[in-house]
Amino acid sequence: MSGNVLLEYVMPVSRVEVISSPNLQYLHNALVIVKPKTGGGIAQTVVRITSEAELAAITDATMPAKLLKNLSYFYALPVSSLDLTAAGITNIDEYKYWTILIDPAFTDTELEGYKKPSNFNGVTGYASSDEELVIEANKVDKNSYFYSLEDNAGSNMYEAFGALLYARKGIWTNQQYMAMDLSDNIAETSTANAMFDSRVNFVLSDPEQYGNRLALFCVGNGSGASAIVAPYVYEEITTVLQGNALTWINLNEPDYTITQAKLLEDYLQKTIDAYIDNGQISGGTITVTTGNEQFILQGSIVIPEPSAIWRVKATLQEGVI
Amino acid sequence: MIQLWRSENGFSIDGITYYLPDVDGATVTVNERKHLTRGANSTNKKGFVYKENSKQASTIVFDSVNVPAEIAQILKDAYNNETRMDVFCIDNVTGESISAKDCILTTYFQQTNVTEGEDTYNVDIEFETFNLK
Repeated sequence: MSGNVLLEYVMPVSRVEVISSPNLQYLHNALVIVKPKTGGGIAQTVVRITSEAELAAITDATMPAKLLKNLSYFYALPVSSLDLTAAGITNIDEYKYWTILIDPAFTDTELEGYKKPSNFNGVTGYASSDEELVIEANKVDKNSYFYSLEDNAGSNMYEAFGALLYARKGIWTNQQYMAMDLSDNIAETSTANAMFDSRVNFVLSDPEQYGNRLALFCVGNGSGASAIVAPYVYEEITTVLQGNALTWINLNEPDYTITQAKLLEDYLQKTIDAYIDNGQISGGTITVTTGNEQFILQGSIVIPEPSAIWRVKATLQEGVI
Repeated sequence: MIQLWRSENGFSIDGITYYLPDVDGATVTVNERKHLTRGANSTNKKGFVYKENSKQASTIVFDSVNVPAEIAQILKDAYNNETRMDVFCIDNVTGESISAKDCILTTYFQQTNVTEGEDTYNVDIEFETFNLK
């Protein structure tokens, strides 16, 4: 409905809409790949899960519900094969997520057929009782596999990812030594050392006092392992910088000048500084300059990788010299 | 070094840039100082470093001329609301810059010289910051 004709005549007002900040919720969303419910049809449709009952309606797997300890919902996709590019999966592109968790009901052999959705570049989680498989998998960029007893059905993986994705107060944390529900029967220091050295995500159990504790949670980076928060923090900063660049260009309609490049650089540096101030990165700089190409500035961003402390190796010298 | 004659000066609020079109100069004052000291017995040839005036903000003052009415109004509102601003002085040829982030305006924007002659247009706009680069 248009406004009053007289008012519109006296004072026509054009409204300028400010572009909103990018939505970061996708970073906190998980897509769980589960096997379809026994006796049920294979829907191959992503479903939003908010309760155990909703999960039970599509699969026999119960452990994904552990995500709901921290998250208000997650997405689940019941499929019989891990080829997520298959044409039969109807709505996988309608949802935004940056973590895929593969339920351990899929065997290690079935895992070999895993194909990510074509536009997915986030983190993949899986749990297996095959330590060698986990060791090799965690060398791959953005893989975060857990060692898990078969009977536990990936319980600890779901719990750990749920706590990670919740990101209390908007800060990504590494979840060091969080309490876990189930034991994966790792209770020897020598076994734990071997797991740690191989960068296997695992839960260490101390039946006497501390119970079951998450003892390593990392992610492959192609050449080794990184803190689990690293890919999430990088992705978030990248998205926020992109959003802020869009907003700034839209608001200021800049010319192609050194001054404008410098002003944009200052604006984006403030974004990085905010992440330094809240402790998620230890430093970071951005430079934006003019180049030889019409319309496009040249940018360079340097941010040290977010890291985590899990252990301390110390020496105690007895006696006084 | 930044050359005044080819510089762009102004401030931004929430990402929106406002320019001071006529500026006679920009003056930066950094109050924080580092000093060396040592024991009075004078054996230490290297000394220790200490700081003074860390609590005191740095200032950047624009001697501006003929500030447009809409910019003047924004500065008046910013003073009243204690709005945080990012202040800049950029050489538009080399890209060298002075950047002061999260500044406040220290005095209400006001013409202070109502006189005959060209100086009547000059107003000092002083910003304070703890984030000067």
